[in-house]
Amino acid sequence: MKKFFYLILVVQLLTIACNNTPNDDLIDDLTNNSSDAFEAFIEQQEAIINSYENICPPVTDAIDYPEPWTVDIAKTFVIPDETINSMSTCGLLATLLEHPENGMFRPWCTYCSNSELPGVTMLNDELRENKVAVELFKRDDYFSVLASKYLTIIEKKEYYYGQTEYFEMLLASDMCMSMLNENEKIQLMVMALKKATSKSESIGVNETCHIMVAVMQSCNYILFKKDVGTKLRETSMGYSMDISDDIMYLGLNSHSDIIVKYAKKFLNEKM
Amino acid sequence: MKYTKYIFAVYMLLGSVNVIAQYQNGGPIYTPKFTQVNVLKFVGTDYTTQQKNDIKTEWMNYYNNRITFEAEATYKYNCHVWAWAGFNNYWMNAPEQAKYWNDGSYTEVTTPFDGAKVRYVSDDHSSVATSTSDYFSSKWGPGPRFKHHKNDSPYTVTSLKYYARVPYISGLANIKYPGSVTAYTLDNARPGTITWEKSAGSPFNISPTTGSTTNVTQTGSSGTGTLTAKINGVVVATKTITASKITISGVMNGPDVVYKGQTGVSYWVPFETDLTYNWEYGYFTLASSNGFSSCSFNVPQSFGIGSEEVLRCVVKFNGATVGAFYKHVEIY
Repeated sequence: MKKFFYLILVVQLLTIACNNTPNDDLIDDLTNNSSDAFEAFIEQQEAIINSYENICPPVTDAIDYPEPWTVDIAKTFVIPDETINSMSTCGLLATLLEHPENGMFRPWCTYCSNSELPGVTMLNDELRENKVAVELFKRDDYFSVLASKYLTIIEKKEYYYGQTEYFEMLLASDMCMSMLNENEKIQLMVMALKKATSKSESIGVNETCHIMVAVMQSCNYILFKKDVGTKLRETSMGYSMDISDDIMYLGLNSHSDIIVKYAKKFLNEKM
Repeated sequence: MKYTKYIFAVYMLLGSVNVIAQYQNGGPIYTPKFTQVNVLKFVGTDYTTQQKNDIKTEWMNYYNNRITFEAEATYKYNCHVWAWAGFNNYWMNAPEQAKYWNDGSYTEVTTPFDGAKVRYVSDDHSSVATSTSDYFSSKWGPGPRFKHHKNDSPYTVTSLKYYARVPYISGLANIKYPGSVTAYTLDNARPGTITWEKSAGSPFNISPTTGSTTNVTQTGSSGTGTLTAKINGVVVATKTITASKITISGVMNGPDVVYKGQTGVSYWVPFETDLTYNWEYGYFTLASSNGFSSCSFNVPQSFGIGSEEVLRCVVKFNGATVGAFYKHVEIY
């Protein structure tokens, strides 16, 4: 009787173990994927990325938002189209990132009462209506400017509440993904991976994971789509993964290890 | 704003502020009418103290300090659960809050009052009205809880509905007479002038006719009537009350003949709840306590042959006499 009980227990534990992780065999395989060739590929990509360093001079033409930023100002504050059109690409990015409502309203709705709002969709909708963002992605040098900024964030471990999250979600946005070519997506993936796996990481990686997810999805990375894509659902803080019946996650912070492993596998296949 | 964010950046480098928002099924909780409401329990890492302070400052700046801070930002609870259930440790996603008005626990009122629940029909939000006109108290998503003018919040206020707990009249559905005086109270009453009315031909009277409580007294006839409570002239609750006359029947039981010096002679009458019994006697002395439907007596020694005792048991309800049982007992 006792042996039978233990047998049942072992079977149940194995069942739980199999169900809780998308693909254990694959994860183990991915963990062992850092071959010399792969590291050389990453170094090669990083060399390209490093060429974007300090693209932007000190920005002088970004919008200087009134302080304190109040609802009354927000109601009437408009950046004229001529100003947007004449602004440098670096100025456009700074104007987007320094908006005082980042952190309050964006990238996630921090006053919203429903934890299961489609946060990614809402952000993409907002960006489509954002004239500054639209203009930014019209510029020929938008990628080098974005890459340069991201490089600065990674290298200097720069973090501004609301702003950094918004920037990463800008990189993960449909608008950005629709503009990047595959090489640029790979470079973006390398940067995101570097940030997510940084040893001194002390901040959240939710938005960093969204960049990796966006790249893998926009590159139609079948393995990821098959294993993880179907488990993604939108919450008020972006994608979350349904891997537990008992716990509801907001965002990908809790699943960063899984996303990182698929991102490595993705890059490995792009070598 | 920029200064605030700079401070935040420095703080971020000093320690982890990795918000990991995780919920698991919590509760359940219930409406006043016992409908189950599904809520979530936060089990993740909440905002840091610094983040809470910065979020508070940003919102207060945004509304030019016209809003009053009440409670810090937290993922633990949101507007709906706080407004409708009063909890600060659960998260309630829409449309769970609708159960509070759909199951009749709350009823819509035209005018807000202190404590009224506010439903934002055009937005996903709930708040609680305060004693100050047009000022509500509400939790802003995972953000802080503020007291604010209805126009000073990020929520759409084009269509607001106000709700109050459904009032009801507490008190007995059945009254008896004679002697019945029963208090009835309007529970869950929102502020306003409460008045009481009875339907025509009701077998009872009410007094007073204003105030949260009224007393009902029978008129001396049996039947059914309706007690109505109004707040500011609007009917908010009714109660059907049936009045019935208490009667006694049967006879007093016990020996018709007793003997001098006999002790512990028992007599009893039919028992009914809520009635009191008082035994009256002449020559006998009590051998048990008075006040019950049965009683025992001792017979004295000093009687002549052929003496008679008249036993009487008077039955009362709420102090009013309902009737009496008699018995003539011969003493030998």
